[in-house]
Amino acid sequence: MSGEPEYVAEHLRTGLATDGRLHELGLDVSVIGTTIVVRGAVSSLAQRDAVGTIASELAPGAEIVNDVEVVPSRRPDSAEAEELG
Amino acid sequence: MGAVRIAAVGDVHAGADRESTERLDAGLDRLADQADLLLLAGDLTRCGTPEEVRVVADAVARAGVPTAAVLGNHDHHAGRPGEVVDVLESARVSVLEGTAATFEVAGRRVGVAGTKGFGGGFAGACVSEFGEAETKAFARHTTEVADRLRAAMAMCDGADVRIVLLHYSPVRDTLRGESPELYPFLGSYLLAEAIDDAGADLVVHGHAHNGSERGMTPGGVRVRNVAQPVIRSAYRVFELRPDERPAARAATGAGRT
Repeated sequence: MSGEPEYVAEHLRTGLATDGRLHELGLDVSVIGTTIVVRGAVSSLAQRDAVGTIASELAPGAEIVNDVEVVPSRRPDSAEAEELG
Repeated sequence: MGAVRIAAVGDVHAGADRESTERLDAGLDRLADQADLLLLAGDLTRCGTPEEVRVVADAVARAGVPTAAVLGNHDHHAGRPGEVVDVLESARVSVLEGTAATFEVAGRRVGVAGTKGFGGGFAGACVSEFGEAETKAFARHTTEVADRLRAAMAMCDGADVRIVLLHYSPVRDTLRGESPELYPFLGSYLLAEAIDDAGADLVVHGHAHNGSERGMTPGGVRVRNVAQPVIRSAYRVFELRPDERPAARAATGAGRT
């Protein structure tokens, strides 16, 4: 890995947004030494796996910590409805 | 009469795969028991392909609840928004862009005015139609969608309940949690101004995955960010009771509280 951490992080963020296997714009990327931590949320397990794959391709040699979660999509209880009058 | 029950969710980001189908079906399997109307606040897909939106359209059709939608920026990525709209409309989803649809639900007329919206920023930090052609085009698009929203809201005059459906946010409130540097790309105050001029009972939007759920326009219309990463569930349900409003408010139709 080369380059200033800020540039590395932003190039990776851009890659995660534009790569056709993912297209996720809202992820947070931190570079700490040779470790890259990706945080945020996606809508499927396959997309979460794609985060790790793309990050490894874009930053070969770095240790990738994939801290991305799959957004919960459970049905709400009726009691959770918001009364707006 | 009972409440009008509005379910809303944005940013489901479906792919053309079985995981997305199962996720949507599991989330929507009780929708017909819980809501009279479903609103989809844009970014139904990841890349905006007809194959992806077919997954959403089929799931919504199986849910069996009248549905209105706006597209989001992801739904435009493949450059095929017309095909995306066609797939949704084939599943009887009302797709709104500067237009409105009226639904007869729970014995009331519910008017939904919708547009994708756009960025541009908020008071004190807005892009202006000045300078390079690219900057002017960005600012002009925001103005155009806000004008289209005004026209759409006029179509809802006389409805018992008036809802505004957007993808981008009309207010800063529901962006709390996002980086302030991103605000000009997440919404525009021009949308809120159009809403306040016409009045509404509720605004729902998506787009701001790291934002906050609740906000209000300067004129007092409630705004809810229903992006799925924010609500962390299949949808939110809002209950509105137009019969219990103060007579003066009902008579003027004003949405301001």
